[in-house]
Amino acid sequence: MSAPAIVTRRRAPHLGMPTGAIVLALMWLAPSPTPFLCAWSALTAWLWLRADATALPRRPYFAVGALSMAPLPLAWEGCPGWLAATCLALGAGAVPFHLWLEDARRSLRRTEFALLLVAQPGVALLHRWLDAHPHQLDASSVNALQFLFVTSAVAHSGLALVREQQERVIGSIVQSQSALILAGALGEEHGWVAARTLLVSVSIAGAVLLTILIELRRLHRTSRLSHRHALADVEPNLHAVFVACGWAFVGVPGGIAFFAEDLLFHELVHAAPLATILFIATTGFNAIAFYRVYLGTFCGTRRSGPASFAREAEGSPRVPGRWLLAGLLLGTGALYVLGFLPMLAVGGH
Amino acid sequence: MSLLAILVALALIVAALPPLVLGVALLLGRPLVERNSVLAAELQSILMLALGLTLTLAHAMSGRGAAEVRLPPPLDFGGYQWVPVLLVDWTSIAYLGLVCVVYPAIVRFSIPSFHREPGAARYWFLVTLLAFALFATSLAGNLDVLFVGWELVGLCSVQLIAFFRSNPRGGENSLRALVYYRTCDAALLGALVWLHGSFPTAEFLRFHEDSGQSSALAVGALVLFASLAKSAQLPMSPWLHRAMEGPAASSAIFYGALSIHLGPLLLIRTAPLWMAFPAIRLACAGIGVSTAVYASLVGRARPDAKTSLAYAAMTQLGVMYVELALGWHEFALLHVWAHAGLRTWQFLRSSSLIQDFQSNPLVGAQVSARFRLGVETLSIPVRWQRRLHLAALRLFWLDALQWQFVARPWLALWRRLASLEDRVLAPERRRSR
Repeated sequence: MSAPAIVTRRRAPHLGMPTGAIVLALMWLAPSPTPFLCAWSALTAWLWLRADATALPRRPYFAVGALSMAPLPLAWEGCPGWLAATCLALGAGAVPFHLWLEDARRSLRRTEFALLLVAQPGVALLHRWLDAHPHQLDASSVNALQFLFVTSAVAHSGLALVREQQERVIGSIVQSQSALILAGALGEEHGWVAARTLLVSVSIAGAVLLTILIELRRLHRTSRLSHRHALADVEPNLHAVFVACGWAFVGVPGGIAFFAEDLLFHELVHAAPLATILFIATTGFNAIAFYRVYLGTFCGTRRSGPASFAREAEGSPRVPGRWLLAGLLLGTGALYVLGFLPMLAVGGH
Repeated sequence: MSLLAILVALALIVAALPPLVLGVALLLGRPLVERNSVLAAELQSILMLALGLTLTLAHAMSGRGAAEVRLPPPLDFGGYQWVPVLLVDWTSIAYLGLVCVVYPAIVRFSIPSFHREPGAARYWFLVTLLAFALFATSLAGNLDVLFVGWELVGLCSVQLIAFFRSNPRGGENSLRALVYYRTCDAALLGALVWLHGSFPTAEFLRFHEDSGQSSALAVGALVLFASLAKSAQLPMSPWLHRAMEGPAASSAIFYGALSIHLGPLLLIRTAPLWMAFPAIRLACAGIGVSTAVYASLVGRARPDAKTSLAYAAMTQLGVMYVELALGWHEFALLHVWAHAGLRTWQFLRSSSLIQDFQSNPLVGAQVSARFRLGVETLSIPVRWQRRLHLAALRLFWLDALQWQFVARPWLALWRRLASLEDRVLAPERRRSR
């Protein structure tokens, strides 16, 4: 059996991370549906162009198709309820409409996909849509959509339990948490506030964890979970940040996710008891999946061999940058500070 | 603010400061030198002991049955409040007393064990965090605070099982422990959410008023299930012998003394909710009896000291569950104290067992290793005795059954979904960046 082909990507300096970050920021900051739709279109174009620039033998048809369809209920006020719900599920990457995200992952650079994941375009779309058309969906459609999101969260958690690549596992956990955010955002009364609190946690922690994994991949060629990596003693700083941030991410007391999940449970329990049960199960699975990544990256017996020489030959820096570490520490610290003072994230009394 | 409230707040700060300092130092990549880490743990243990004694005296002098201390809620939004309520009564004093007595002994024992040991800073952080978590759990006045301590105890336990990071088996076993913990923690969280949703309050002192609620049976059942993993009761017990991968001192504090008895503490605290339901009491007693028989047989067939002790502890916990089902709660607390004392000593001595067999006057020279189950005195045919022995050696296939019928189908479902993704999107190619 022949070894899989290694695809080398061309550099495309003009349309890289900064452009994606600007487009995603504009999408979140858009004050009304029209600028939002413009930013969303720019995001779709960015995705297409980035895949084109990286010269992969495949195009992200799924991703671009889904992104083009998703904002339909926002643009068309008379959109039927079932179509609006489907488009929102598509935009949010709910299972079984999540394949576009996987398609985007395979087409983008790792850092770009991480950016797309933590910037949560699906949540931005739902928020904008709820703001513009609060009564477009009837109660039964909202319940169905809410149930779909929570089921998606369980499915993403389940996928995180069986995936073998570190970044994909953390990506699945982020997607699972995003689905919970979406379910919460559809909740009654203070649903959006509760969802926003979890969104803060997921975005910060997702960014920190994915950055660490991408950095470890650059430094140590870690691509899959294995007890041969054993990087805890090799990269003690990244290890400490990873473990502290990871536990806060999955809702252990001390981090903001603990209170955010508590608020979401409180919002959902009356309206959707079954969804609440699934929600609780998801938080459990996510913790197990995170710990699996931790063990498969930092614990075990250190390998020796050509992999450790490869990066020396490449000439890339051998230690994580100081500014990068400071940023990661700042993000992790923010999760705990907000965990001790949750009202800062929830906002107001 | 009453004297009791000041004392409780002071005790919490004293318990929380050392793990906070040690944790921040570790996170910043500048762990404290060993002397300072030890000093932090020693100070924490001594001050906790002193404050525990003062709290007991203050409570005895106050002459009240129970006193609640309400701290300002960190989360107050849209009619929902997360209120930390602490409770000082004889149950909390009893468990807190146990924590305050056992913890200094563990700290003292750990000092030579971890002298110049790689990862000592991590050990001291986890042990001090555990002390804080146990402190919070003992004094919890509502299920919210208890859940915080409960989760942190589980986290420390899992991280300490994998303490020797270069041993892959330690990691695998800690993952197993986490799976059991999280399964039961989900039940506790479910009970908590249900309590908040349907009951007027989640405070232990008001549970008497809530026992008439129609959903009290379900909440009681969830609480009973939630207690099973921490106390290693059937069917959530197969993690316990795997947890022995950790250091002896952490095994003593977790699986001999304090963490393993959190199940009975939770059941005592929530007793007003479930004691009214014979079905739950029957289930509690049934779990206790079956665990006691199972663990007693398996423990006798184990070849090493620490796992034998783990199964012995499980047996006693089974007996405690029966006591709780019978309503003998004070007796169960007494049993907790006696059992924790004995097991702490046994676990701490487990590393020097051979020397004990030879020279320790407390153990005696007449001790010899036994490989028999102890069923020889009963009139069971030899053929069945052998089968029983074989079954005990294989843990009655509990591990295998749970893997075959629960974990494997669950993982297979997600593997199928993952492979479906690949089929739709075509298998992924390796990428250079």
